[in-house]
Amino acid sequence: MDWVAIALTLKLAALTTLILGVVGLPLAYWLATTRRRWRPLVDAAVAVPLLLPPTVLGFYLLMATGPSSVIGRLYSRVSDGTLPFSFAGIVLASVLYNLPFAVRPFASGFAAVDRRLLEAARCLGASAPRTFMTVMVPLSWPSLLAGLVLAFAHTVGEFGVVLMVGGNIPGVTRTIALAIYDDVQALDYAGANEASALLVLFAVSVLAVTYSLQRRVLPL
Amino acid sequence: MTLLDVDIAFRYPGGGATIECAWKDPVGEPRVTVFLGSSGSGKTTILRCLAGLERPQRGHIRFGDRTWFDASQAIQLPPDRRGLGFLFQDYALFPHMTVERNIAFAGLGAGGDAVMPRVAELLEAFRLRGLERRLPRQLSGGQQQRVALARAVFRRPKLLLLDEPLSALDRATADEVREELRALIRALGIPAYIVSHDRADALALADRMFVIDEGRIIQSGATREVFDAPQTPAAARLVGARS
Repeated sequence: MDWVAIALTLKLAALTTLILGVVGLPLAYWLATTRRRWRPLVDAAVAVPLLLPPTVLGFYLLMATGPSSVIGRLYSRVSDGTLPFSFAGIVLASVLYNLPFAVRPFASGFAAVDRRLLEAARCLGASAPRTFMTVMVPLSWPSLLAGLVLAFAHTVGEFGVVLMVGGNIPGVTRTIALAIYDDVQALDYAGANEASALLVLFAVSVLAVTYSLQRRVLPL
Repeated sequence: MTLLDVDIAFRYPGGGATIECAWKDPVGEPRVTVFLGSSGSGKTTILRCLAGLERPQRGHIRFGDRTWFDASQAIQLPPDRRGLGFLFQDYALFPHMTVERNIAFAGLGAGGDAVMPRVAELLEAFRLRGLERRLPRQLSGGQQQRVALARAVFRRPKLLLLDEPLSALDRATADEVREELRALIRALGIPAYIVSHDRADALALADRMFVIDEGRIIQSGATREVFDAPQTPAAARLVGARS
């Protein structure tokens, strides 16, 4: 079993989930509450990774973050390295690729909260951030949990976009999904089976825990 | 005496009906004003504009020396900075909080030492002792209304706004609670604006009335005067008199 790849995968999934929590929650809140006319455009942009092949997203990310690109030049100013074929590169790719898996459940949860409860909180003296933390988040908790778990689990199983942006560098960008691919290429079916079984067990456990938590939280 | 100066025009999104109303009101005495109008007349929207939950397209709302809204200066004070109490039609109690936490919500940020004595005082005043640990879904309609009212007055608002306070109750309970609500509002000593479509509410609760029709105030005055002498057929229809 490639424990280095497993550790790197868990680190990637944890970081991606954390960033999606920080970026995705305000974005989802905006999507769920705004009356702006261009909201469908932002909605569509967030959902694009659901339809695009991961290789296409990976290809454009590779182009957009290369050393001669604007993003690439900015990144090289603040760090020594480059985004492609680095751990930071696959974190960025994972965040973008998993955006809909986190933001859509978040936004559905927010949209389901009765607007009058938010208005009541504001009339009781709560600022917008406090209303969000004390009313919106507790009442949409099952959906927030679903979004975070989906993002984490989906990152663990990611293949195409990581391969395109990160290559397959052991200890740097080689995740468990890539390790399985390598095992199969090397005809090491026993190794591939071990890692695959672990991923299956992980996926089933995550879903079981999520559904169980949701059942406990939902009867609010 | 603080002057409430309202002059607003509100148009619903999509180019629907327009609300245009203006009045000046010395707010200080614990006087109860009822906005009486049929469903869709715009009375709730007027209340929501006062609370800062809707933004009119034109005009101003001033309360004493403070400007709550001014379209020409792009001022729209958010609801949490207007110092109002608002009772929602279906009470809008937070379903994930107990009675005690619903009431204490209005005091968060004020420091724990000040909050709990005020909560205890309101639990007593609104006959909610023994219900502190209950969730809103475990309360009757009348109890929910008392919790919502206790929560709305926690911060000692200068003006209390009540949106159809009895419409979420069945007829028998509404008749019972109407008297209780009247006594509570009088005891609080806070001026109140109440929106209602029910003339029984107006007669029982109001010192004076604004009759609203198609987004406009078509008559205002002491309750008895308006009921006895409606000035237009629309006002007569609303107060149930023959024109």
